[in-house]
Amino acid sequence: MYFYIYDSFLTEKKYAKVVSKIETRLASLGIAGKKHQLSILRSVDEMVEGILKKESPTIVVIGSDQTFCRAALPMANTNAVLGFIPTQADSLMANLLGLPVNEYACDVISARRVEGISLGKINGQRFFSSLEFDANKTKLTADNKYQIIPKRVKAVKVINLDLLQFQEMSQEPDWQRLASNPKDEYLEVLMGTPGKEFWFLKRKEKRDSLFFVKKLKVKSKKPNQEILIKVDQEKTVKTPALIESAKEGLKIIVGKDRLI
Amino acid sequence: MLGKDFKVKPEDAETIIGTGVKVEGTFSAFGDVIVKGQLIGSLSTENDVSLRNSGMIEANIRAKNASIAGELKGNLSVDEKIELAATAKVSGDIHCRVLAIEEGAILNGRCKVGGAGPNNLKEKKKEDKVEEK
Repeated sequence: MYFYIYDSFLTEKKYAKVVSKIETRLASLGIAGKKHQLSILRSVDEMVEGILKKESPTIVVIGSDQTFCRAALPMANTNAVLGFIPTQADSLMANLLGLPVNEYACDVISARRVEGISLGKINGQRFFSSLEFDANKTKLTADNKYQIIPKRVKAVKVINLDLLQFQEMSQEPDWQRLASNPKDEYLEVLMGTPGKEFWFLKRKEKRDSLFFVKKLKVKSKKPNQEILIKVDQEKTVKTPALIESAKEGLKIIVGKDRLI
Repeated sequence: MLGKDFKVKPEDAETIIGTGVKVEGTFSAFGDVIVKGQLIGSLSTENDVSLRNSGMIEANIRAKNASIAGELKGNLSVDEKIELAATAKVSGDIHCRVLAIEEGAILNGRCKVGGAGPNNLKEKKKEDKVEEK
């Protein structure tokens, strides 16, 4: 059974045409299902947990990357399959999973090519895409074996499912875009200096180091100092933090042009 | 640098220790390792090690192949080939099957080249022990 979670912004008038086209395409492909509308009062986590009580559902998120990432977390280690119909042209997840935007993604959902991917964990909480934090004030211990001491890098990005770069969509051509491998038990640790744009000044991002780790301990260099770690471009977690690759898996619908 | 394939698997990926980073401890990897920064401790990989001229390693290295263009203080034990570039400075013993040294490279240490590499030697010793029994 298909369940469709509509992002809260899709109720705006300007998306009416897009939503109608998606619904028409889903109906013509014979995969129409139950509609769930997100709002300020109904969070995606609650909604997904409610749907998961049903037997082997296919949950499809229509909307933004953020909502899609949030919907993925409660679905780990279940029989449910997660799909995504992106409605934003610059969607990073669409790029990674090989999904076209709007009604064109319905065909990918219908083709149902399912891949298993793993999630990451930070202090026991799951994360889907990546973590980012300041490199200067931190001490990193990888796999309990070696220390990574940042000297001339500004940022650290720990990646489960994301591009191996700091900017979401840099100006690099497609063939140069590298994606992480979320199917293995490793997390990619990218260290470098993110690019900056200020008026006419432009600084290109610099990728310095790349490590593959199963476990990463992040501590502040100074005692009693907490460093904020940005999780999935949304919430923040304070150090000390233990980041690890979770063994929990997730089934996800992907397109043939996927980067992972 | 990171390979042209979109997917990066640890077995065939390149771990890169960049110029802005120092690594201390027991570093082991599956894929190729490129060192442009500093590494202190020990380094082992099932694939190749490349120490670039900006890099500095104070560690014993165990790898399949090694190309050295920077400074190495420690023993280098390689199954196949070691290449020392003109900018290489090695203080330590080296053991490999094939050795290529460019003019200008500095090597201070004992050198065991040819025959079976360290990996094959270990296997041979095991075989000998079995035969003795």
